[in-house]
Amino acid sequence: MSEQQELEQLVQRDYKYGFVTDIEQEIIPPGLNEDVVRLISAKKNEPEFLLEWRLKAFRHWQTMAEPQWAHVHYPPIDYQALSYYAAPKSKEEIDANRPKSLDDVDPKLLEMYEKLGIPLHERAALAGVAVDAVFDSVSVTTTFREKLAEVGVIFCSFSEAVHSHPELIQKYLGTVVPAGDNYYAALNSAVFSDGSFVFIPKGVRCPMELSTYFRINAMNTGQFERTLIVAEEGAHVSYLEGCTAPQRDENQLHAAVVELVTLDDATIKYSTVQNWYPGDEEGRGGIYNFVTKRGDARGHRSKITWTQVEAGSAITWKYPSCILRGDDSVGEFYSVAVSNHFQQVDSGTKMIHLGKRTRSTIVSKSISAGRSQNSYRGLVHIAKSADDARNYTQCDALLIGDRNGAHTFPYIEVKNASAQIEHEATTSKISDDQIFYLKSRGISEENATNMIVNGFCKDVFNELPMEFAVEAQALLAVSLEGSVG
Amino acid sequence: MSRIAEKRAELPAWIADALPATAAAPNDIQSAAREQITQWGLPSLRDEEWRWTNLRNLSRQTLVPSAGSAVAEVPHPISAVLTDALVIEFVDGQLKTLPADLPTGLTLTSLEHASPEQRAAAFAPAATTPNDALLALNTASAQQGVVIEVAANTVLTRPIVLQWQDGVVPESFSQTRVSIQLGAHAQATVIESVLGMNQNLCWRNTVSVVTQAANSQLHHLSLGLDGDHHLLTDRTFVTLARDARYHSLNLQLAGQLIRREIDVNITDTGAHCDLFGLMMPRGKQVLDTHTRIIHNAPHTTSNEHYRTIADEAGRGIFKGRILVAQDAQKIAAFQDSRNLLLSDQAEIDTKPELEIYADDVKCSHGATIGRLDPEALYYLQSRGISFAKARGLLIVGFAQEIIDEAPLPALVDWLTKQVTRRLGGTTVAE
Amino acid sequence: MKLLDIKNLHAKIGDKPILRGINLTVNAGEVHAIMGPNGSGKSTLCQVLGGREGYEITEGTIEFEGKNLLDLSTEERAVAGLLLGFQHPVEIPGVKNIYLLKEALNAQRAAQGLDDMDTFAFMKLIRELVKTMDMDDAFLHRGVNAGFSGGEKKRNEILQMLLLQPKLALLDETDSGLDIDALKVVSDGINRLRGADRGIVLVTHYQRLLSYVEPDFVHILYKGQIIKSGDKSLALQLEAEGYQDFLEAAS
Repeated sequence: MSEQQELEQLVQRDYKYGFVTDIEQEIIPPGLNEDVVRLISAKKNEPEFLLEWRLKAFRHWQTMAEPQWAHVHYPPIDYQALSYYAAPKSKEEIDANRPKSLDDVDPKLLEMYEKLGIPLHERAALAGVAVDAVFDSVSVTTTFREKLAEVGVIFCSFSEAVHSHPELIQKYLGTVVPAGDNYYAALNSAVFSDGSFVFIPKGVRCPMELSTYFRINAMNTGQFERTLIVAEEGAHVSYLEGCTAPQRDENQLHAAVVELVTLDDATIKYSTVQNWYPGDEEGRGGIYNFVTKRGDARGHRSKITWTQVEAGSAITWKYPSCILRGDDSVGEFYSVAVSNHFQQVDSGTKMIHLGKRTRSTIVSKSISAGRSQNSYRGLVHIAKSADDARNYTQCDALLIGDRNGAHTFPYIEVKNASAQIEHEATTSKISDDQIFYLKSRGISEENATNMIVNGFCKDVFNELPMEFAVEAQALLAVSLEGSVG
Repeated sequence: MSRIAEKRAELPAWIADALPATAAAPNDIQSAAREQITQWGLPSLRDEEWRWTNLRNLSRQTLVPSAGSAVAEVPHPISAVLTDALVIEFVDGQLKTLPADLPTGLTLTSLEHASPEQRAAAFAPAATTPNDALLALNTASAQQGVVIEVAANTVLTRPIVLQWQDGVVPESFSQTRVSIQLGAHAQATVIESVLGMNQNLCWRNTVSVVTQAANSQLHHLSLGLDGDHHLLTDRTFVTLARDARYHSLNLQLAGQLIRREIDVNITDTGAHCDLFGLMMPRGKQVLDTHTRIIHNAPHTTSNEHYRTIADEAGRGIFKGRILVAQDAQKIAAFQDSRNLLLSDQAEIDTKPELEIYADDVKCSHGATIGRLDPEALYYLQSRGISFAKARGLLIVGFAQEIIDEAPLPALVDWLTKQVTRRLGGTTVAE
Repeated sequence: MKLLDIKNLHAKIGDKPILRGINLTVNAGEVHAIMGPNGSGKSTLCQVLGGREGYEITEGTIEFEGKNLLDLSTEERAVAGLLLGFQHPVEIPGVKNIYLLKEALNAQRAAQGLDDMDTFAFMKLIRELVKTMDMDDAFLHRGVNAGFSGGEKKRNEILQMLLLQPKLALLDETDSGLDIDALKVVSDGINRLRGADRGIVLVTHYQRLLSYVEPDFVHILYKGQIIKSGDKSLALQLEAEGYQDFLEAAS
């Protein structure tokens, strides 16, 4: 087989998560207006404050324009053609669609999660990961809740938390990403249907990794989940997020919001392996991933770490950020963004230094193949109040093939003379010399490429929890298969 | 869906009223630019290229167009240093004198007397977005300027100095255009030196168009050493043919607001550009440079080093973009932005950008912002040097690497003295 | 036993013919040195044997252990036992040396139907080899050749040879750019590779290496052809007369 044939075969390999699950769904008709917002709120039996909050966000959204500054191109989105709520129907419709236990969940749904490799059943306890699974817009099940409750950790779906812990929701919701923060955040605030809620009380180190798997299944729906994680004084949690979607020819919108809050001495580590359907090799279909993620290191000596491996989505627009408010607080961002075919990525981070001696580290690795465009966009802002702040940024881009682009747009704003900022960026390609050298040592071309790519990304993979690091490496290999030739 | 059109502030009346019906630009180009600037108004913070540079102070003024009656007041300090220079004198944007006895191969023409071809070349760059509003304004307005032509195979040994004295008449503004055309294998040095006069408020909006034929070489210096209150917006377009080399040194110490933009378009194989810059804002100065280097051909290289030393409440802004076009393979581009903050009131904003569409490239950029290295300060002090002197030595050392890029030894010495003087008389061992 | 058999090899880059009819046979147990001035085709010969793209074979055959070498991809040649030591080993930042060594060894073992080597045994083996090459353990955890000095790169090439134990080691100017101490270490490494079942081809510009690694045969490559072959005295003669005079006399 010639190299060309081999390459084509590999490129034509299917997106492995592209199956559709055929289960009964409740979907409201497409369109967005105040009635839809009220309907979503009513379906979830929400308290008045939340409805008001949604309506305020919706009204604000109507006055806003879609951002145009990102280095991405797509036809205008018709927000009226989307459906804003889709939920799998359970055998008995109890409490806003919420299954009481795994037995109530549609077996097809469980089967799907099995296909995805998510250890939903508690018998998968060996995996040691507590999972909240969000299917289209509704959280399906949360595992390990009793065990977590013993130490006071709350880990449940967002809509459940609205009922069980309204005071916490009211206290923290929208305090990191205000309802009107940006176009997509405002849209999310108006129509979000579910998501995960995590609360780690004072002094508690969460005994296991927490994890959410997001899945878009229904057609013509947007997914708007909302995650809120609060770590009280001295608390510690590591949270993992994974995402997949079926293969469809049309584009689907995903506009999530994630808010993190750390109080004094608390730590949140938030890891994402994003593998939404990226579209086919002609650029048809795929998810528009327009996500707002932000952490507020409110307390002194608190720490927020974002680690992301971005492999999916037709378009990614995502800047997981840290507001370093507390003195001596630390923000970290480790990212691998890989793009192939016609994918477009505009991703990066913002590190806003407000507190004294705040430190941030940014390590961004982008790999562009096919005809993709991959941009790093980042802001480091040192406010006047941030004495002795430090930032170190390393942005590296690797190019595979000559029909793609790799771009770096770092904004650095410094208003305090005691700051120390270092930014480094490089762009290079996997050279023929490197591949030949490895091949001449008996290593296959595919393996040689993987070795170089993994070596390129290792600073970021080192930051991932072990079970995710393996998944991330495999994902990278699949995403880039056949791109070197 | 609704993409809400952005509302733009209107062009201030004192600028709009001064727009001439015709200017030096070819008529169709002039009228198109006039329409653009009327529609766009001045750039605002919402325009990406202006997000750090606020022209509000400018648009609030009411300045009058300079009339041409002003005369040069002081001999330009640089003429004492470069005694053999060919000096072109402008006062408040009006061309006053062209040198006599030009060397063979050099032609100087005032914009007013330029031929249609010369004008077409001088006004070739077209504005495309509101980020380019000042270019449009200049194209719509400029009547004064000069065309410098160096014939093929001419190696000019004497530097050409453009002396700009701005603000002789207070509260005036002007629009100027300079065209520099180098023939194949030609070599020249052009030094633009700007003096803000008498602490007067004034504004000059200028555009330079540099076109270099194959294997030509230009040293282009922009020196802003004196004056506290003048505003300057200055955009330079450079087009490089095969093997051409452009070397820019941009040294800005003076002025209330200096905004320089340097656009280099590398169009053919073997061409190279060096962009060096030093900005030293203090007081409430805003010193800003935006550079854009486009590698449009394979086997081309660029090298960029910018440094800022910000003191008091000064603000330094640097944005550098390197764009490598598709199929422009075998590119090497290096960019470095280093910044010193000497005061808590000072601010530095920097954005080194890489935009790469080809794969066989080696591009890198780095940026650092910080204060003087305490270890180095301590080391010098431990050798018996006073704190103030040690600090001065380190700052001058930081600046020196840029100053050393000046093409003539006499100029390097003189510029070193200027910078040292600027740093409060701290002298380096001479 | 014939390891390598090159017959009437012609190769070109683009339109430029570089090799113009090379004949060379290397048997197990032999050490051959190929010498020649710059531009004579030494590196091209190595690259063609290594399977580098960009060279067009216009005539002739190359057999390795009786098989047509030109049918094999670069990595197949390596696992089959033909290993190329580079003149300018490329830098691969991010990929740890130890990782390359392990992958390469296991690729070879897989081709022989063996399981991956046990990590413990591998580490023990590699540590010993590192010591014999007068290198530091820390070097195993650096990126492949990344930031290595010229001498370190060449030692690394020999280290790989010692680990992978090729049937035919082809060393392209392994001695260039080495100071005398490094040259000794590298030469010792090459001498350790010598054996009854192994062939070694040293491609070199200088006679110097050959004082440390005594070749059985010396060939002079000039304008893409082997114009003279002999024993080690040929190298000494070449060194004494200089390329210019020697080549004029020979051609």
